[in-house]
Amino acid sequence: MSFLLSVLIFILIITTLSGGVLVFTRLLTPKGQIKLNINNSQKIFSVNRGETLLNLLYSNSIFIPSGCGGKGSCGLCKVKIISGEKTPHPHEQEFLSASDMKNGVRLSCQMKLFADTSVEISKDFLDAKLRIAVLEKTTMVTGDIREIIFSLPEPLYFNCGQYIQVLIPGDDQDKNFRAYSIASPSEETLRFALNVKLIQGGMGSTYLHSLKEGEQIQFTGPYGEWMVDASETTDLLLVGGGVGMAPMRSIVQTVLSTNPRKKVTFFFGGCTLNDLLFRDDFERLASEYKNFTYICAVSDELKECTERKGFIHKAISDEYSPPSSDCQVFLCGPPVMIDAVNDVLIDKGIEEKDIFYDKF
Amino acid sequence: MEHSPVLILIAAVLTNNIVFSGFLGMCSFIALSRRIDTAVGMGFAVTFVSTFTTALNWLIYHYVLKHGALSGVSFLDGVNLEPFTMIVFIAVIASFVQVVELIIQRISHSLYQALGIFLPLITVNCAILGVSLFMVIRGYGFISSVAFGFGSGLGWMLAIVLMAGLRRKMRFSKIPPGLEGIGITMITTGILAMIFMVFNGMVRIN
Ligand SMILES: Cc1cc2nc3c(=O)[nH]c(=O)nc-3n(C[C@H](O)[C@H](O)[C@H](O)COP(=O)(O)OP(=O)(O)OC[C@H]3O[C@@H](n4cnc5c(N)ncnc54)[C@H](O)[C@@H]3O)c2cc1C
Ligand code: FES
Repeated sequence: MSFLLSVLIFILIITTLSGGVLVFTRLLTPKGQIKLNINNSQKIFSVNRGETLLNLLYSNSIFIPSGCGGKGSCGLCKVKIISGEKTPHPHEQEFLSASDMKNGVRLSCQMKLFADTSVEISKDFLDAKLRIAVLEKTTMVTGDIREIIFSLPEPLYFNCGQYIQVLIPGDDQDKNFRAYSIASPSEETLRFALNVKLIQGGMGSTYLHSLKEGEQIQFTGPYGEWMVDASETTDLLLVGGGVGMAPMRSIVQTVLSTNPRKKVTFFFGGCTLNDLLFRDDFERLASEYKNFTYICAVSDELKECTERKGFIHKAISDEYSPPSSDCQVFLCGPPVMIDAVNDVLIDKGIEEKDIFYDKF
Repeated sequence: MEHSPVLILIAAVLTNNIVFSGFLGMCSFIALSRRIDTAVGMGFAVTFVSTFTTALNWLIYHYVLKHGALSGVSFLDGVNLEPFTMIVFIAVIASFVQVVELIIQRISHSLYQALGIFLPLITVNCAILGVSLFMVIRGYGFISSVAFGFGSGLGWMLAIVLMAGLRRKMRFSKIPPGLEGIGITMITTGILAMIFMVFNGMVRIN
């Protein structure tokens, strides 16, 4: 009898506690709709409270960049908050520069809206639409990187170095995007190439690797603020590692064909010889164009060949001397590489404002 | 021997550090020790929750759960809720954390930024439950329990902030592949734990 009573009292305690939480949740969660005002009342949406800004934008067909599907790990989904909660969460700050913080820029995927909010979004993003491309050809170029060529029904105008966002089909449809840099030159507007590295268990890369000829993808873009200076006297230094090759290829091909007197130096690093993708192409270009230099380095195995050994930032430190005139630097690759190269370049006296990078 | 609350507080921070001597609360300890500012935020949240939940759990244990606590009421004589202690503690901690999160979110955005976002991570933190269970096993009075809860939280904060500092330095070290990330963090925690054993001679609460 007293045993049964004990169990009963226990159940009573637990139900009281959960009931309490339920009541509090009911009382304290704000309900109803709030207003999301975009670009000074250009568009106004009435939306549910408590959703993230990124989701709200996507469900209203505004496709701002987001490389990680809202996990807060890519830092691409920045939005300027005009009115509303401007203070970023501590974990957002890793991706925000000092001027971002001053101007109220936040990561939209980490910001839940509880009150009326006004934001400012660049016009390019406002116009971005979901577009279609058809797979034309897909080939493996190294052990884990695949070159995929898509053809387009309508032309895509982009600057070399920009990227697109591919929609990854899955459970929550219109939310999962992954960023991929365009690897083909920008004069080609009716088709483009991507170089995609297969990541074990990765949603986006597995999807793209499994696509067959004739299948369609949906994407938005182009995005990215890289702008190669058109002037002939501004030297160009490109540094890539791994799949960081993709935007560099686009830049090299575009610049060499449109600006044949601009000096271009391209450093590329990999772990093994197999990682030095498109090496033959670049060596051929280097012998064809006097203004183009190509230097590659491998960090791991290296016995029988004459290649440079070591990390790419070592190679730059040893072999690159910055020009006396203007120069522009683009870096693309794994974060460790970017940090190391950045330090070397600053040491060599290149100004931080001339260095642009994308961490993959 | 009965220790004074002040002694218990100091011991909970140094000699009986919940991370280094109990190895409790490891999952959030490892996950959030990458940056010092997040570590500090999480440390404050743990301290806050462990202080208040020990107090709550002490009251519930001594006035409801303890064998014979309800014997004042005649028809409840013989009821024994002690076997349910752990489950009730878990439920109390989880409800407390949820309600506090809701309240903070409602009343102050800046407090929510500093503390609130860490609260959901604490709901199932074993360090917090451990503190409540130790307080029962060691038979602390109310004041001692609160001191113990507060001290354990501070100890956890000390541990995670130390670790965040070390991990920041380690970013530039060459770590053998396979040990990067969690592996090297566990090893470093072990070494830190040994260092903390030095405090053992000062005071010991068992
Ligand atoms: C501006 C920009 C341009 C990019 N351009 C390219 C490109 O041209 N080619 C290309 O291949 N990728 C590129 N990326 C990376 C790409 O967007 C995806 O992040 C990548 O393909 C992994 O996505 P996923 O869906 O396959 O993996 P997810 O499902 O997101 O992740 C699966 C697992 O893999 C891990 N993981 C994710 N990324 C990496 C990584 N890089 N290395 C090791 N582990 C990882 C995750 O932590 C997770 O555990 C670019 C990213 C950005 C931000
Ligand atoms: S940080 Fe990647 S989408 Fe927000």
